[in-house]
Amino acid sequence: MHSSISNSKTRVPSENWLPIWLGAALITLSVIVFFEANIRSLNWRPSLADSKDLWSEHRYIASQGKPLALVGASRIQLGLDVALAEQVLSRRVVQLAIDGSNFYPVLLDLMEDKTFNGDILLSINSEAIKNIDIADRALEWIDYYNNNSSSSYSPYRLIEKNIEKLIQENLVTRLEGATPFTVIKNIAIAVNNQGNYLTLLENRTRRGDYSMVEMPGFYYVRVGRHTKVELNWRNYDSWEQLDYAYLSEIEKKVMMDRDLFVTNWKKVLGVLNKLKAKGVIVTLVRMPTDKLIWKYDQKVTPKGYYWSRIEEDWYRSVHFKDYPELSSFDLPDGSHISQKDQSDFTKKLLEVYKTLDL
Amino acid sequence: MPFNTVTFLIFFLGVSCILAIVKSWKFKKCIILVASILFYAAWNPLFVVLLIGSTLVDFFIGIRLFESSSRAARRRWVAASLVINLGLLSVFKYSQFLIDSFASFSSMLGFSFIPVDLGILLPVGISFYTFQTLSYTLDIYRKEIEPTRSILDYSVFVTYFPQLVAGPIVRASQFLPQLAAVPKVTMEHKYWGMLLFLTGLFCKVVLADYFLAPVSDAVFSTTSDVGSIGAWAGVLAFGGQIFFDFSGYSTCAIGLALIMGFALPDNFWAPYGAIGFRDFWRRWHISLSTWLRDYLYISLGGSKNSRITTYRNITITMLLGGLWHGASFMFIFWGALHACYLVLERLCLNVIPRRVREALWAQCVGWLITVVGIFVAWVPFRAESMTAVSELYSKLFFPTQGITQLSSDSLFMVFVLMIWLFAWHLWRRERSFESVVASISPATKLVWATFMLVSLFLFGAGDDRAFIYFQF
Repeated sequence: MHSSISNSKTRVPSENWLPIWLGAALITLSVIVFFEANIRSLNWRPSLADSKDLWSEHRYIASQGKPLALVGASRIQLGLDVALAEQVLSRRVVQLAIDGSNFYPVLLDLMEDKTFNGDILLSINSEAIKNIDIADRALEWIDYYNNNSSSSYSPYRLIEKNIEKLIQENLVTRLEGATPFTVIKNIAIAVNNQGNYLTLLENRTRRGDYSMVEMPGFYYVRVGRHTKVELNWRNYDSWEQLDYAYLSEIEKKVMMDRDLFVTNWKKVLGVLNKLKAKGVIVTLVRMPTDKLIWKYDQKVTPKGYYWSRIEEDWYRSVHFKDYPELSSFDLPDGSHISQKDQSDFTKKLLEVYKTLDL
Repeated sequence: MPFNTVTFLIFFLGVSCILAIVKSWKFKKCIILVASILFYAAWNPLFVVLLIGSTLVDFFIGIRLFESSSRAARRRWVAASLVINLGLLSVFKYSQFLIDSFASFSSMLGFSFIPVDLGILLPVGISFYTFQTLSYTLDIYRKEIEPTRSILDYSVFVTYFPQLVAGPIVRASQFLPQLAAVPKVTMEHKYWGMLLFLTGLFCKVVLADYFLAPVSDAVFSTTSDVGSIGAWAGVLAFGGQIFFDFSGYSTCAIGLALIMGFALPDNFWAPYGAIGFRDFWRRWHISLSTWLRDYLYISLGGSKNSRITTYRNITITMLLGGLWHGASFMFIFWGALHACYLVLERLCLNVIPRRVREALWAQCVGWLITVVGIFVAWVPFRAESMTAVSELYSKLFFPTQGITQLSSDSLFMVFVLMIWLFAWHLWRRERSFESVVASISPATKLVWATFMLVSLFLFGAGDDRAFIYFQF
C-alpha cells in the first residue's frame, strides 16, 4: 500500500516539526489577540447572534412546562430583562420577540401548538395590528423551528451550538456569529465607527447602550424611520429646527385606516380567544415611546380611538401611558428602553402585571 | 460529528489523551472502538444498532465462509452477505426512490399512483461501511485473505471513526494487519498527521465552504437567470467545491489516522491534472473506483472478452457507481456520462497511434477535453432537476447574457482559485504531496502552516455546512 506509514517513515517528510508548529501557533494566537484588542479598543463588544437557531431553542423551551412567553419585537426585547423577570415572577420566562418583525405569526404558532401551556405577555400596538398580514422573517423562523425540532437535532449539533454560543459571547471577532473576516472588514469600512450599542444575551435579552451612539443624530434617524419621513439634517441650522420640521411633517399625517385595523384586530382577537380557551393567560402591553415617536403614534393611531377598542375587547391590557411609573422613562431613541433603565422598567412593568391578577 | 466542528476537536483531543495514558494495545483498541461508536452516535444514536448489526453479520459470515469446504456452501455464504448488506443499503437509500420512480412511471402510462412517503432517514456513511464490509467477505470468498478471529479487530476495522462516514474505503488486507501489533508511531508521524488534518480542514472550511460554495449555490439555485459567465463560474465553483470538500475530508481522515498510528490509503491524486478519463478515475475517489473495478468490473469480466462486452461492463460499472452516490436519476445520468467518456476514450485510443498520443500538444488537448468533460458531468451531479441541467448546458455552450446576485469579486476569486487548482494538479501529476512538502524549506512550511491556521480563524465561523459526501 502506497501510504503505509504505520511502521515506516515513507509518508512523513523528514523535518523538525516542533518549532514549525510552535511558531505557527504563536503567530496565529498573536493575530487573534491583535484583532481582538484592536476591535475592543473601538468600543465593540462580543454579542451573540439573534439567529433562527437561538430563537428555536427558546421556542422549544416555551413548550416545556408553564413559562411566560414574551412576544413582540424589539421594544419588548430591549425593555425586559429576562433573568430579572424570572426572579420577580418566580417562573420561567422565555423571550420569543423577534426584532423588526410582527407579533402575529408567533402568536398564531403558540395558539396552534398543543404543547404550549404557558402564558403570554404580548407587546402590541395599533400599527402592528394593521400590518399582521405582511409576511416577515418571523414566518421564516417559525418554519425553521417546526422543521428542525430539538428532538431531531443530532447530539453533536446540540453540543456544538453551546460551544458556538460560548465563542460568540467571548470573542468580539465572532460578533453576532459573523466570520472574523467579515467583522474586521465591516469595522474597517464603517463610517461612524462607534462600536455596537446593542448586545444580545443567551436568554435573548437585548441591551441598548445609547451612550455609545452619537446623539441626537441617532434619535433623528430613528424618527425618520418610524415616521417614514426622511429629512436631511444638513439642511437645518439647529437640531431644534429639525425637530420642528419633523413635527410639522407629523402634523400632516392622517389617521390610520380604522376599518382595516378593526378587521385585523378581530383576527387577532380570534387567536387571543382561542388561547384563552386553552387556558393561556394573554396580557397585552403597549411598550413606551416618547418625544416625536409618541407624537407620531398619537397622530396616526390615537390612543383613545384605537387602544380603547383593544381595552374594550380584551380583559388584560397595560398601556404605558396609563401608568406614570411606566411612562416616566427617558427613551434615548424615542422608541426603546435603554440598558441603564432596563432593570427598573422590568420591575415596574412586572409589578403592574402582578396587580392585574388581583 | 463532522471534523470541522469544535466538538470534534475536543472529542479527538480527549481520545488521544486516553490513548496516550493506556499501555495495553488490546485496551487501546477497545477505546478506539468505543470512541468510534460514540462518534457515530453523535449523528443519530439509533443507527449505531445498524452499524453493530452490519459488523457482526459480516464477522460471522466471514468465518463461516472460510470454514466451508464446498463451493455451493461458500456461494451461499457470500450470497447471504451480499443480500444482507445490499438489502440494508437498498432499504435505507433506494426504497423511496423506487416508489417515487414507480409512481412517475405509472403516471406516464396514465395510471394514478400516489407514492407513500416512507420517511426513512439515511444513516450517515452507510454506503461507505457497507462497501467496506462487503469487500471483506468478497476477499475471503476469493481466498485473497483469511478472516480475522478477533471480533475486536474486525469491529475496529469497520467502525474506525476517521474514515467511518466518508472514507477512504479501506480493505481488510490494508487495515487488519495494522491492528495485529502496536504501531511504532513517532512524534514526527503525529506532527505530519496534524499538518495533513490542518490542510484538509483548510480545504474544506476556507476553500470549499467560504469561497466556492456560495457561488455554486447561487448559480445552481437560479439556473434560469444566469448568463454564460455565471454558468461557467458556477460549474467551476462546484467542481472546485466538491474536490476541496471531499479530498479535504479524506486528508483529514488520513492525518487523524496517522496521529493514532494507522495508515489509510490515498483517496485523491491531483485528479484535475488527469489526461484522459481512465486517468481521472485512477486519481478521483481512488478507494471507490478501485472497489468498483475489483469487485464489480472484474466480476463482470472486465476487459478480457470482446470490445462490446468491455463497453457493457464499463457502462454497468459507471451506472452503478453513479447510483452509489445517491438515489436519483441525476446521479445515474452523471455515471452514464462518465461511461460514455470511458467508452469513447477506448475507441479513440484504438485509432490514435501511441506516438501521436505522447506528443505534448496531444497531451494538452487530452487534458483540456478531460477537464471540460469532467466539469460538464458535474452539472447533473449538482443540479436539482433536468430542467436546470438543460438550462445550464445551453448557457455553457451558447453565449447568453444573464443576471446573477454574485459580486465580481467572488466570480474573480472562483476563476483565480480554479486556474491555480488546475496548474497545481498538472504540476503534481507525478509528485506525491509528501515529496512536495519534503522539498520546501522549514521557513516555507512555517508560513504555510500559519497561513492555514490564520485563514481558518478568519473564515471559519461555525457554519456547519456538512461534508458533501456524508449524504452518500
